[in-house]
Amino acid sequence: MTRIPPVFALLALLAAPVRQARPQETRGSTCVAVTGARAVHLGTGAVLEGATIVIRNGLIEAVGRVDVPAGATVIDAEGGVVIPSLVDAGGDVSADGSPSEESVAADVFAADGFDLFADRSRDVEGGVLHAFVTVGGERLIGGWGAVACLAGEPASRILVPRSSLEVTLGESVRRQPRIFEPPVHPSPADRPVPPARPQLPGARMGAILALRSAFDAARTAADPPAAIREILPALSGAHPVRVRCHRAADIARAIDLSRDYGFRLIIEGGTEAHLLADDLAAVGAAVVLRPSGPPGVYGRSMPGGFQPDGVPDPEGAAILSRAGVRLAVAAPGAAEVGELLWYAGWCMRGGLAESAALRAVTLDAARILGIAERTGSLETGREGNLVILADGPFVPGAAPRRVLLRGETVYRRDVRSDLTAVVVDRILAMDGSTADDGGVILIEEGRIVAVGPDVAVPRDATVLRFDGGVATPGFIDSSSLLGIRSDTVGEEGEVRSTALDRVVDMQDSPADLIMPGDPAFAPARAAGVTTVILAPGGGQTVSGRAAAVKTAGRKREDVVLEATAGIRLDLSTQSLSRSTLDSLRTTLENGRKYAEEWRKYEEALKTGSGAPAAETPRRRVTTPVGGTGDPVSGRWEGEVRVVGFPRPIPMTLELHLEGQVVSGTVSSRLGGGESRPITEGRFEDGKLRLVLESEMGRAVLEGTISDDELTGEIRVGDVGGGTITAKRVERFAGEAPASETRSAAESRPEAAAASRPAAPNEPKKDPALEPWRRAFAGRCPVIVSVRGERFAAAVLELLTELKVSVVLSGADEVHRFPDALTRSAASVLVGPTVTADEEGRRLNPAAFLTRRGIPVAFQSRSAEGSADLARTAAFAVHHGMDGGEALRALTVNAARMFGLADRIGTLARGRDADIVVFDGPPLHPSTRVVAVLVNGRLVHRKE
Amino acid sequence: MKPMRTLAAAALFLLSQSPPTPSQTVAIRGGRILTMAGPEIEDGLILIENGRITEIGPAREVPWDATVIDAKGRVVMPAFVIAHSQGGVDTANESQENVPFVSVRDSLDASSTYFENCLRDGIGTVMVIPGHRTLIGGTGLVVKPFGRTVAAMTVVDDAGMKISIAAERGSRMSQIQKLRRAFDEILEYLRREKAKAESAPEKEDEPGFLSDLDLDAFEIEPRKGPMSRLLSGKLRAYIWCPDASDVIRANALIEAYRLDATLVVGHGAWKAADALARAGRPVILDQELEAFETDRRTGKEVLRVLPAILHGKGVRFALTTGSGSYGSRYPWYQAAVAVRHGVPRDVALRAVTQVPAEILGLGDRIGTLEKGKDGTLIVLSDDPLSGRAFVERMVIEGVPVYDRSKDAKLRSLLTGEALP
Repeated sequence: MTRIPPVFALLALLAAPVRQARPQETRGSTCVAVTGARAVHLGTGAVLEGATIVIRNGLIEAVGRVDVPAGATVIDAEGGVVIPSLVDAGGDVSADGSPSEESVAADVFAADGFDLFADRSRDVEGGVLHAFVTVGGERLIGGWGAVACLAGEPASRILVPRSSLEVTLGESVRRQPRIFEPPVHPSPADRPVPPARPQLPGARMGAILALRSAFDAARTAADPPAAIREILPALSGAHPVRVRCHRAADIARAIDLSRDYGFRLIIEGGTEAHLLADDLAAVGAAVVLRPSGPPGVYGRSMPGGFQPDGVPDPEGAAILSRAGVRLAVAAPGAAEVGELLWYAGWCMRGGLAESAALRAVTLDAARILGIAERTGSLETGREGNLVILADGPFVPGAAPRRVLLRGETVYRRDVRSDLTAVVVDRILAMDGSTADDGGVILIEEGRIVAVGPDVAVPRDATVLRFDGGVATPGFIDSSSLLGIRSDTVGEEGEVRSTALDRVVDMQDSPADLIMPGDPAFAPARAAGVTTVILAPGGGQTVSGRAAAVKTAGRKREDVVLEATAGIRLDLSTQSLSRSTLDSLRTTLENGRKYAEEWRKYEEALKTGSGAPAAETPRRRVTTPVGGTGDPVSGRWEGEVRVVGFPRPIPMTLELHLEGQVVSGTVSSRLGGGESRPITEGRFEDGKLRLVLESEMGRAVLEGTISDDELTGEIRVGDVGGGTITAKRVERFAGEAPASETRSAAESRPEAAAASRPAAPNEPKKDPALEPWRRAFAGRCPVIVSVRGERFAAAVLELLTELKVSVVLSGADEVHRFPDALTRSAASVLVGPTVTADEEGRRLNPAAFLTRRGIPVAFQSRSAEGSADLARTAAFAVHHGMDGGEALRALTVNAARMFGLADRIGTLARGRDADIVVFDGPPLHPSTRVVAVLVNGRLVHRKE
Repeated sequence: MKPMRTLAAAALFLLSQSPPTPSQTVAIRGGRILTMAGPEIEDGLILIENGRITEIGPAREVPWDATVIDAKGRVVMPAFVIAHSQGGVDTANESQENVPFVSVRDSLDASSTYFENCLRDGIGTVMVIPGHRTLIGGTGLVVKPFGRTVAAMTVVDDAGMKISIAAERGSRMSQIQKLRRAFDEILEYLRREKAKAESAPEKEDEPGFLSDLDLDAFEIEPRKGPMSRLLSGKLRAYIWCPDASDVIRANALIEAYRLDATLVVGHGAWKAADALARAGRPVILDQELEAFETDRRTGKEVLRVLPAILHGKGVRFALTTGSGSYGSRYPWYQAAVAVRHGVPRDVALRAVTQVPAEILGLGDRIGTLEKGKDGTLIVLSDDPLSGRAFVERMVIEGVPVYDRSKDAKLRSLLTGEALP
């Protein structure tokens, strides 16, 4: 056995970590690419379009039209606008608590009081990642302000502990505290305890005097105390002096001091700085402008104690900028740091250019704080600190969607998946309104909630922006075989195809044959068709129901818009004759009668219970009083004695007993003689309990019955009650044997009603006739195909007479009977071919009909044709149809014809969010479909 | 007033406590021993000679001359160590904030009921140090809660300097400014003194120049003595950090002035758990261990338990007692709170024994039961975390100082029996 020499073992141990170190290095290298931004504002004033930003290890590696490096994490800006992260050059992010007592204390550092762990997410959500941290504006020389990062690792949030020396010349330093420093031990008698020492300044002149002597002492004193010594880095020019003041008089003194001592000057506040714009420019001073406060908050004292007379003039910013003064805009207070961008935008009102306004919160603000090498612009080598906005930086409502700090996402807006804003350049709403200048379609939970040019995009909406996009309602194929024909869905589909032919008795809807998610729908919806009317083939006069089906959806209830969108009558194989017409009339009359019966029933249900009791005579067998058997059923007459009421009130009861359940009516003179149905009644062991509703509340009658005599009590709500006595004056046929009752009910529906006189009589349901109820209620049309002008005219006349709405399928012959069409107010489905050649002439029925004001829609009558519907319409336009009418035919006309206008066909509030976005005029040859939404869901998007 | 109190205290000792035995050997026989330094010993024996543990292990024959404490069915463990307390003094802080030259030594009242209660609660060693309401508050004292004079009680004199990062008035920003000024003033003073002593010109040295400085070589003004020792690393700083930011700043000060320091952290410090872990020093927790914080966004109240969070980040900590809510007076209760929120039992018990002993620099003497260490221990009637446990006996440096069966005051409290 050989032993491994120890030295080798040691080497092996040493080598191991080295091998492990390599993958760690590559893991440590991170690369992020921000793509898909509409515009990138570099912060320098330059704006790039379609630029990609590559951030490697937290630093910007490239900006422009560059390729995404392999292995980079891609952040899609989704058409948003990218700006550098914002810098608040004086946002009053302050150290905690009160300042040092001393009027001059340059050895105070704001960095020491900054709460490193505070939750600053509100500022970060506003896109602000860096801010000045102030010592507070209550002392003449308050100490050194710092620069902090508002996100990231808390322990390292202070970026610059010594940023600028803070001097305040405003009103707030006019009253400095007196300093009392008692000795630690009691003083001997010859050295009494000193009085409190007053401090300068009490006035502006004292302030300037104190400043000059402090500056002089810092320069010349042999061994100055720390409070004075720490002024030197500002006087040497290494760091600027930040003077908080608003009034021109104070600013003028600050300029003088800056000249005399040669320090770099920053004016913070600067409400009146524009009055001295040229002087400020001459000494190279910068200005950090602070608006007075958030809108609606007035009379608030600004930092430095300045109380503005009104809202500061936004023109100041523009004047300073024009004079060449470096300008930053700060938020008015610590609570408003997150709104910094808005305050910068507000300065544009005074004439500040947009690029200057953005610079005032990015690059120039960073320069003033001395951190421009690090942040404030999107240039190579800077940190990857940026904000992705939904829209241009100063567009109202444009809020940050995502904020990156050194390439890492520190904020990402939660967007609602069920709230979508479709932003396009043109909206063809098809409801008469136009938004030619572009606009927003706002969708919530699959429905359109707002449409128009002025609709604001909510901050939490998912934004779908289509530059140059034209939005129309989703197209409707008015007759299609999509999803049914065998050639699209294979073997199973063939079975369905057969099934569709058998849908003749109208019991089934073609919608039942649809398979949600059928790939056959994809080409149609990619072409902008969002709804198809599935109509059965033919052969029989009543071919069956037509169904409205959407071309996208995960569940059946999403896909099936309406199971009965029409009833199809196919007369194309028949010809005009009396028997044909008679048979058609009989068919329709049957449907009408059935529909009528149900209509009456539903009306009765709606209006209440009175009618059936009067209409259907009760099967009543009158027998003399005194018989045995049923002790309850019969007519009872009696009276109620109410306490405090002078006379007894007559009362009549009609009662029916079934088992232990008592039904019937109660009427009394007090109730106006009107009979009221018993809502709840029981008879058990000789005791009767009835409940009925009256105007005065719930009435409960409780009594005992013996030998045709009823005695008991009645209580009405909280109103009161009384005693009741009644006698049976008429006896109804009692309970029949159970089997007898049922057979009677079946043969004569009235008989069944007799036992429940309160409820209207429900007609028998006939599945084959059910669809007619919808047709005769005017909620869906009868779709008829017929050949021959005279036959067509006769059929139209008949349908008009029966008051159904008519859609004529096929338009080849319409030019022969336009008057019949107009008279019957029929609509016409054009297609699958839109032109017809007759006697050498090329006819365009669609154009012919629209010119006469007859509504037209397009149909493909095939499975493949749905995807080609827009082209079909375009061909009709090519041959003379009005373009607008063609679009109406594809959308709103079809929706109206099939009674679906409250759901589809227009882009209006409350409609389904079925939207097609084109990259140009919808029926133009070069135009393509960019995106399709069905029920608010993006189902197709052009890559 | 004063003589009365002393008399009362003397009477109390006579009534309630067995006098220190002259016997040189004390044997604790039987009982389950929680050594805090290894596995538990069932039915063990501890021999203490001249105040030190000479033997610890399984039961065997007891020397004939030993004073025997029978601990059969009981639990034996090191006496609790509290590394930060304001007990036994009249007022926790002087009214002026910058008083590094005051000492708890001059404030301590040996007859305070605090020390009497320490015996009942099993606290064998406690550091009494000025409170949080200060800038530089003065020096503390490590004492055992037994003895008639402060001198007799003292274990370590001038044991630590109290510094507070959080201002009682004003802001943290000016608090740190004042701290810097105070430190710089002493550094300047020492530099001058050193130059004077060596007859060499003053040098702009790093603060570290002090670590080699022999303070005895030249005369230091008495009032500058404690600060001089602090800045030359010869006196430990106990820095009060109620909040997370304070932890970061305290660490920065420790580094800048090369201090030997222990952080005393308040509840808000949980956010800085990572920084505490990085610093690697054990910390002392203030008495409030659990607190509800309101989430600013959701408005929900979230319970944060400081020892559980720190343990999760690998920070070692010592628990302290106080006069706060519920049972925070009792070391075992504080440990039990930590255990309830997921801190392992062993860690929680060490937080009241071994870790504070180490922080006080007494790790070689107390905090665990090992051969050669002080015979400072308690005999409990049950497991320390059981909630039913009473301190039956306490032995400090081999001297039995407390016997519950002779604690008339406690008996009176528990039974209603009149004090004799």
